[in-house]
Amino acid sequence: MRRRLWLFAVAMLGASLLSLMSGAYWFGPLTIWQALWSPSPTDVADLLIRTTRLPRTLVAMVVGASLAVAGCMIQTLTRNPLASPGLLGINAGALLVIVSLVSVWTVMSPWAWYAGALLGATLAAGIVWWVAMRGRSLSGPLHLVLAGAALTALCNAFSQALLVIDQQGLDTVLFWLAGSVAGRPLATIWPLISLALIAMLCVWPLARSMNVLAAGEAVAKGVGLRVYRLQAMMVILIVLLAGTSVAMAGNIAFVGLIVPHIAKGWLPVDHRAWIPGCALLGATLLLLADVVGRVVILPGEVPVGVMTALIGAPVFVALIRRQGVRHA
Amino acid sequence: MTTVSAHALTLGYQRQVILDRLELTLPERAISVLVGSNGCGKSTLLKALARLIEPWEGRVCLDGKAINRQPTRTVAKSLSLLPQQPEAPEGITVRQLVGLGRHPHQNWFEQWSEADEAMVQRALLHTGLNTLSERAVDTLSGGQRQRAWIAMAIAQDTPLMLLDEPTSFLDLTHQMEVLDLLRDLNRREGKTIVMVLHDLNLACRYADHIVAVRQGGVHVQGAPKEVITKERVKEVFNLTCRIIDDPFFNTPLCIPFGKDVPG
Repeated sequence: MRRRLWLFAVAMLGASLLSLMSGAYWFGPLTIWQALWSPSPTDVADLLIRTTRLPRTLVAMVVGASLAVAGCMIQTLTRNPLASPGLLGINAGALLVIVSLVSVWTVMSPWAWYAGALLGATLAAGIVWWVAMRGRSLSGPLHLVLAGAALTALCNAFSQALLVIDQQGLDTVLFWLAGSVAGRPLATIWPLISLALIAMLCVWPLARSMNVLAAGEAVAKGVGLRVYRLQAMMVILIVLLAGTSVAMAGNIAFVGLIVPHIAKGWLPVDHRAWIPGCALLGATLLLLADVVGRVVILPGEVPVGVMTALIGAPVFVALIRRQGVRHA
Repeated sequence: MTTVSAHALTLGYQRQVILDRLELTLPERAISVLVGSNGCGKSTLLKALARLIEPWEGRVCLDGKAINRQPTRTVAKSLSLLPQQPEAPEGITVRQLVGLGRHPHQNWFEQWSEADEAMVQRALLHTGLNTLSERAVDTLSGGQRQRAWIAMAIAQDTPLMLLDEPTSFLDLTHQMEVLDLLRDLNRREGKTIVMVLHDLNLACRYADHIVAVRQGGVHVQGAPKEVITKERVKEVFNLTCRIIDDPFFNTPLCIPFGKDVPG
């Protein structure tokens, strides 16, 4: 298990190096090294790497890792292997707030957008949680899924209505609709990156309890796990991870759904392996998807959200078919 | 030692009352079996005894102290529970599953101690699963899987074990195997065992104490011979039957009549 995790870490480092190197202009590893550690203020390559490629690489890493870890947690929380973080209405809620900010109040400050996206994600997940709760316990995973689906539909309906009225707003929010890790200067996104990293560190101590919860609520309560408290903490962390991701990079499909499955295929059944495994593999995959999207239609770019959907949809179908065979 | 009792226990789902001011004290170091017709509330009673459901009124006591006033982890050291039809996480090995039973004994500083390892080993031996310990639970047969869950409860190392229909969906051989294992735990280690069973004849064979639940209360309780009579079975299950003496084990044997009532 250790060896596999180290392998994932090496893969991630390789992918991030590739992400720094590739694009419309290719840079060698030496140029990258120089740009990172001893940059010259007049060198165009150094400038490009530090202001464009580096933030983009960091965002892809953090977003990929966050979405994958959040996906792993929501699958355990709902005991549903096909659950993804978007299920809690996080993406739809974030988008609705951004669309409202842009087209109703014509707010154009990125800071307000980020804060709004995070707020929207939190509100949506809060409402879904409240609907799915009965008394002091979650009234079953199915309620969470249904409440999430209903709220997602509602939020998207409002967003679409607003965008139909305001065509200009559509251009502004297209970035979020498609999902992209480009054009995010470090100066504006460092709070989101830090928040995501802190949340990820908070997930780690819960890994052992998540193993217990995976055996079912009744069993978990029987061995003395405070199930409701754990579920609430998991939802908060999922919102933080997926909320910061959607604020930074918009709708990125399938990473939260598929990466946990790939990671689980390689690792023993233990959240203490899954969490770091998902983080490393999620970062790797989103970096690679972004690299491919950057070079596939040069000089244009395919947004990374489109790339993950292109790769993810067939994998998803394969997953469902395999599951179907197993249950038959 | 650990005794479990219910006092004026009232609870239900939504608006419907399932248990109505139920009083019950279960004998220590004995095997108690809860019987009753479908929907009579016996599973609900077991869940309430295991603090899975919060009572509307009244309380469940462990050694005289209200169970929901104690930290759940403390309770988990004296009471283990095997729910009905538990589902193991996909791909988890037998050893890992049994290890989950050690959860209440672990803490931040000592995540996995030698005592934990020894208890898991013992539970595997007890249930005859030591050769299967690295197998994934979902590849086991139904009987082996149920033994793995019981091994998890054994690893929890509690004087009191509650089991919700531990034999359902098992064939007769595996039902006997599970019940023999539980009786062994009771006789050898003095564990108090409380379970819900559907098969009246097996209940009579293995129980020291039978509790018949009807209409949200304890209808009658006592030794199998006192409880399982023609009249009682008619009252509790609305079933016409004849009770004879089991020629080998000398426990009551219920022969249900159904539509065909012999002359």
